Amino acid sequence: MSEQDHDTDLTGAYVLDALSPEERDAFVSHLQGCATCRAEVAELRRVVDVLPLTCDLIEPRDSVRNRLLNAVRDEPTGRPTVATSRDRIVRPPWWTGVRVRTAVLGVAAAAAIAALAVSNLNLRQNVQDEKKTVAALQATARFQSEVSAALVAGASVSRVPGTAAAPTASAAMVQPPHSATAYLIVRGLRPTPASKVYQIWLLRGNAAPRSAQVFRYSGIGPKIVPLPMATSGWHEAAVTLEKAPRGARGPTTTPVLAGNLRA
Amino acid sequence: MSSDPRSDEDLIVAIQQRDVRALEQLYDRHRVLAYSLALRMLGNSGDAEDVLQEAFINVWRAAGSYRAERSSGRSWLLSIVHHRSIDKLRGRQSRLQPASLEEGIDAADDTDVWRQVAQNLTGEDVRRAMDSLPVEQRETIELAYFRGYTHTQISEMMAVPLGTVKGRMRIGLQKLKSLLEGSQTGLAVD
Repeated sequence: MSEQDHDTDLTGAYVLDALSPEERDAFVSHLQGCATCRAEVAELRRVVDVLPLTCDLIEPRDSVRNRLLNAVRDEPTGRPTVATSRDRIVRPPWWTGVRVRTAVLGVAAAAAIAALAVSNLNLRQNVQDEKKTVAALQATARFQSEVSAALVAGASVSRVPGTAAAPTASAAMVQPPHSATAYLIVRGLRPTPASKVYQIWLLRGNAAPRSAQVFRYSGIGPKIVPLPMATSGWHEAAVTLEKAPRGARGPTTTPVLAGNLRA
Repeated sequence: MSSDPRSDEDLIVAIQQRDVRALEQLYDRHRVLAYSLALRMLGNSGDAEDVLQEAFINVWRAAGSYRAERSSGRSWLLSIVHHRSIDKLRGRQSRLQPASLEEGIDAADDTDVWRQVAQNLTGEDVRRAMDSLPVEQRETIELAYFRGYTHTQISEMMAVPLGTVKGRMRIGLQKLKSLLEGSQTGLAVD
């Protein structure tokens, strides 16, 4: 591929890493001699660099940090410039608290027993927190997987974020192409109270909100709620908490989820 | 964890000198975004954790190949995470270097409006700009960048010619750049 016969449309695919290895190698060779494509690649790459900012931010487990540092210290050339005992020993995050409590051991046996009890409680809490974190990660991954699968299938997907009343909740309204039904993928809502249901509303201009479905949520993982109607022609979707079992004729509480729908 | 006043680029220079503390600091600074990117691409926490760890080990081993004039430290790190995730999705052996180091391209001139734009961008800004793209351009970019599909696969999936997919990627990214610049400078975008 010479500079004269370059295919500038490849620049987008290249910076998105959407070329096969063979295409990629050929394009890299082409770039060496084509200032036009080099300039465009540099330009587009800056945009690609900010795409990760669209990700929902999720904290990795502390154990990854520990594994990384252990691995680096095991590297043949991994000489720390400042090699302290802290560098060589990777301690769990609750260590600082344990170390403080260990000092108490030398003061009084009673205090030591109390400190150890607290330490055990902290450890159990740490394990429980980790389990919750893993469950949340898995729920998020399943949610994103569902949304991605819908996108791949050509569906129209609209984000329906949590409101100030439910900031950790989020949802996606999925409208498959040429379908008379839609579905809402929900996660992060509080578990539905016994006497309540969540109710989905579709809104359009000044028209009365249309009840689209009621559902209950366990508080765990993503839930897919089928709607017996298409969302085309509706401009917004919202979810409120209403009286069980059939909900209300119109929204009576502040929405926990609300967002615009794609045309 | 104390904050370190050094820039990302300075930390990478320190990592070249085998400074473990600098690696810790770089990890603490960018672990959430790096992990979130891997998790979104791979869809499960185990693989995402593996990629996160591998990417930082890559930083440790290849810090000497980093060129500050070609990309920011964060962009370099995230490109490693992205490439590792793509390789995992496509089941092929990991490449050692991110693409920007292979083709030897310097960063575009940052004296223009983009430097200001990029510094102030938030996730919500980028999401809003993405949502403003024509749906077929947005979905094509997402399928490629976050799902790791090649342009040929996307062409088959969407049942459109390959040229259309390439055009959607290129034009979509160009439009996204204009939208982001407009969101930060107040300039209208056609």
